[in-house]
Amino acid sequence: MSIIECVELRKEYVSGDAVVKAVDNVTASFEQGEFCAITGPSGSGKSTFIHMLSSLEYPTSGYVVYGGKKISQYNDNQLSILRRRRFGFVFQAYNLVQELTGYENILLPVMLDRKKPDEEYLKKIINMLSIEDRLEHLPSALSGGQQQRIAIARALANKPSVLFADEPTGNLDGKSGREVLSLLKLCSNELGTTLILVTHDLHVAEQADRVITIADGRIVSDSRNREA
Amino acid sequence: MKDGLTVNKIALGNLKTRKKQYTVMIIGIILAMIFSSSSILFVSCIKSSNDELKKIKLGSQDYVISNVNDDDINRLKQEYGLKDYYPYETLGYAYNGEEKFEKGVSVAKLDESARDYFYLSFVSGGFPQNEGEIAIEESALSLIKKDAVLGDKIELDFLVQNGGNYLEKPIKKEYKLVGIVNDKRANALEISSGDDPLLDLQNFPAAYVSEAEKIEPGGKARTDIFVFQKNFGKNEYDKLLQANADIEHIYVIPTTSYYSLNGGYSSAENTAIVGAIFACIFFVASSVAIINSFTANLNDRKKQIGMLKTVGATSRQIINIYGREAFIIALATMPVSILISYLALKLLTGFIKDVFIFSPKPYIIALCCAVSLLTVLLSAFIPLLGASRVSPMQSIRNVEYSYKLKRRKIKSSRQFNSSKLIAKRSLIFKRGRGAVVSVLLIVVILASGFSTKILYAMFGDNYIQPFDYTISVFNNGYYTKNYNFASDAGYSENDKRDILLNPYIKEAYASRGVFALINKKELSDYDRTFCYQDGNISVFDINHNDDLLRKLTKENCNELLGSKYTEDYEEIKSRFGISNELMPVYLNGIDSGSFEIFKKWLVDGKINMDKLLSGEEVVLVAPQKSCFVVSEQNLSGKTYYTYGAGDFQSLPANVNVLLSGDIDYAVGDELDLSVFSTEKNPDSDGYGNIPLPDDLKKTDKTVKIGAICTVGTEAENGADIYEYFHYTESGIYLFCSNNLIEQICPGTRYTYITLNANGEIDDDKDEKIVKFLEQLNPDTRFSSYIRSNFELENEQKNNEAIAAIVYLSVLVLFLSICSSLINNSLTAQIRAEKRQIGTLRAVGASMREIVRAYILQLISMLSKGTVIGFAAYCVSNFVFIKVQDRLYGVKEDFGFYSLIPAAVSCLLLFLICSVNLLFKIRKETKNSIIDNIREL
Repeated sequence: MSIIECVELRKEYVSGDAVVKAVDNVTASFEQGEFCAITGPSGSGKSTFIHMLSSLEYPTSGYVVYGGKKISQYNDNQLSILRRRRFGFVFQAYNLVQELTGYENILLPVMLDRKKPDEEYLKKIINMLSIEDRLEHLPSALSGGQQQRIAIARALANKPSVLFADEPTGNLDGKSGREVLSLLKLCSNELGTTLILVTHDLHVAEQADRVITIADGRIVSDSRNREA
Repeated sequence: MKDGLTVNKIALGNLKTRKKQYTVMIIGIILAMIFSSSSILFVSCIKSSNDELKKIKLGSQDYVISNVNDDDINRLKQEYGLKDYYPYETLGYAYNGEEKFEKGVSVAKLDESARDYFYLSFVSGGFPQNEGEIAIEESALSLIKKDAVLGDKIELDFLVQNGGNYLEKPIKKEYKLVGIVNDKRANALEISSGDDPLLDLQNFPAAYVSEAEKIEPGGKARTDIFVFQKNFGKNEYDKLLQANADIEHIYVIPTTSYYSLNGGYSSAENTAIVGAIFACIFFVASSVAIINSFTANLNDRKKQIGMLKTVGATSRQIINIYGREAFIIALATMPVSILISYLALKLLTGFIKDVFIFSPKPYIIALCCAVSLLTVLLSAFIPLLGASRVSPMQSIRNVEYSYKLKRRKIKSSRQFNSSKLIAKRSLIFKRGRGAVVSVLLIVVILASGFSTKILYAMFGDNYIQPFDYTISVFNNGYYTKNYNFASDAGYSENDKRDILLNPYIKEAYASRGVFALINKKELSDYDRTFCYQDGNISVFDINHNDDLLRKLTKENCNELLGSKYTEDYEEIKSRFGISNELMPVYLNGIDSGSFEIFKKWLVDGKINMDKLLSGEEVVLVAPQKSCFVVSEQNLSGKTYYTYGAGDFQSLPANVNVLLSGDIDYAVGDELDLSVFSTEKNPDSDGYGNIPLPDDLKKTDKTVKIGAICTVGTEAENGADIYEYFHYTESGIYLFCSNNLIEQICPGTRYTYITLNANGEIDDDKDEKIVKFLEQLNPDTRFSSYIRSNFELENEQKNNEAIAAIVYLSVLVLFLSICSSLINNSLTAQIRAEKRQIGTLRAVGASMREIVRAYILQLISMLSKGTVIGFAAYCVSNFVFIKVQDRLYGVKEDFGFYSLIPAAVSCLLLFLICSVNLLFKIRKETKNSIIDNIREL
């Protein structure tokens, strides 16, 4: 059953006189609990695609459907609520709020939703990510890998249906990258979250259930990994 | 490629490609240029206004030296620094009748240049062109020929000039009046003090004849010079004093408004000081605006600086690149900035054009450009220097901020309001950001609080007179003789009747008074408290100098002050064989209608009109208790003494009561009054030392005290009695009917007449009434005045309007400075935190939550300054009130109303900044989250 899908998504940028098509008429759908890797060469439009899919970027045309509703028509407030309740994001550059501690960063979407934090659940994620002893630190006192774990915990804090990760291992060394990836997979499996991950690393893509390859803004292949 | 070219290219490239990023900086630079150029324009406006005002009032010369010859001029040049001067001739002295000799005018022959230098302007008519024509200063004309109009032939007594002297006998000379000139001599008199050694206005020209006019046969024109001296001050004044003393036959008359003649600073100087303060505020504000906007811009581009340093740019080159940007922006925005300042000043001075003349010369505009450019470059240099010293990695990774964060030990909140927590943390980590704003807010609150109080007091001081018009003459007040001059000036019964017959006048109350002496066996302590001071009472011969006042104690008070009688007092007693003591009192005759007012001060007895009108009874107005006091005050290391008598309700700490007594007059007491008068005229100087007249006549009258009134302090009683009945609380006064005055001193003229007009007064009616009152000629030796409440109220309204405009302008100015600083800083912060905004949006924060986080920061930013400001104002106001009470015995309310404008200002500031914040965040949230997060 599809949890999120997009229809004829298109994103164009104007650069001087030229119009650059970053994403060109992409239609795709993603199943609940699926781990999908989106790959492609640099500048192929994979990040732009995931940004539009996750409502971080406005498409030039086309639309995104989540839970049967066209979220492209949502206003800013509705999108905010959707992002804090249903989506989780992990960025390559971590994007933690520098003034908040690790724990506060994790708690941020829950608090924005004015909900009581599910301590048990949070503890579980924190344990899974092995960041118990880094929670009281400010992001600036953490290594890249630790920051990314905090970012993953934050993305999962509200039990999202879909977890979007844009090159989450891009800024990390091989070992940290592998750890982060396996953590993402583990969380996705454990929590039944759909994981849509952008990467240009084929080793990472190999671990996904499904691999979508984008080139020049178009989907050139959409395949399922047998091993997965 | 040359190095300089590269720097220019980078600077220009930056400007072209990062237009949006530059907006904050450009606005900051424009604001700074507006502030700095406004300060130059404002100071220049004050200066030109002062100069123009001075020229109009006194002429463009700085002083006049009369009766100089070539030798004098050479000596003045060599020894007294005379440089720039222009000569004119004085032909004589014109006056109207021997008795009005002192009110005459010096007649000068001015050529065209001299006229320009003297800056003559005409009320009507023009400068004489032919022989036999004359133009006279307006106030001088009213003294010598009151009714003369243009075209009239006026005959004057004329003393022909003979060098420094006059020919012995005056001649009669007829002139045709062709011009009435705006006052200059009268203004010179106004800025001078009476005891100034250089005051000799008899030689100051006040009438002008044409170049064709010739000196009368036998005479010799006197040469006078207008002297121009830059930077006239204390040294120049001392030199003038010296010249005046050294060269005996010359007369030096200073006419500069920058230094009042007896050494004090003039109002022009005060205005310049206020202007300088404003200029400083403007300069500080402009520097802060630039530093603020530049810091924000550089923070925004730290990575670029880091990259430039990584590829080998030196600190100097970094300063060069970003400094040039500032220079280019400053140059490009200069015309609009200068234009805005010009228009703002034009608008402001347009409101108060009576006070300000705003016509800046081109060099002032050039100066504005230079100063504002310099301000931009110098102020930009401070943040640039800081930015250029940062290491490449610091710039690229912003490690400085990371270090700051690392140093902080923060405990995680388990549950929190996201907006509040982010705002709180932001404030913790960016502490000090709002310091400038806080300081400015404190200044705004303090300034607005105290200026509101001043303004309120100024508006509250506008005492509405109970009568529409008052006419009066001053005679007796100048004499402390205890006797009366029958020939004293005043308004006659005929004048009073004419006034009442005037169709515009509804009612008139006249008063006249005589000095009387109460025969008493001995003077009580109560009486003595009044006799130990100056004023209208002259019993004891006392020289109230500091030495005497310092020595006075309760024990020696009567001995040092009350043992030596004045010569007049003793001579009166011996001449008339009086063995009693004589207590001086002022017997004030008033119209029957005026007695009504006394009922409100009645302490004992009653106002019996029949007995008052018959002259049988009088009303005694006196304090219930009186003290003679000396107060001591230390100012700049010197002790000053003052003294006085009266019913001091609350005595300040520094006042020493030396003698006191309760009232010893009661209703029903019979007072044996003696009134002494002379038919002779008083001596011309009017200040004393005239022998007791031979023809002094004594009139006795016994009256009964029908009522006793106690008025209290002036402030408590609306000043009616003080204004209209010559009363001061430091004495005892008898009020009687005019009939009694007629019985004792027949023919005594009225010195005070108060009038009410029929119906509403307008400009036309007021002019007619004033003209009519001017025609009444009290023929006073000193001065007379006509006061029109209508004119007074109009003047008060104008003054209030000016004060209110200035007050509001200053408040708005401060508010603008504050709001521009805060807005600039917030805008820069929002730009710098764009990525964080994106992150917050990505995790689900709506615009409302982001706005709330910033609003909370804004509140915190403003509240610090607001709380400190209000606290500082309350404390300083409280201390000020206490000090005032302790030192001067002045009781004042806290004046909570004075907090209102400051509170409104803070609220306005908050609203303006909130709207700006909302606008800026809305703009950011209109972009996609990825746009927010993406690094430039």
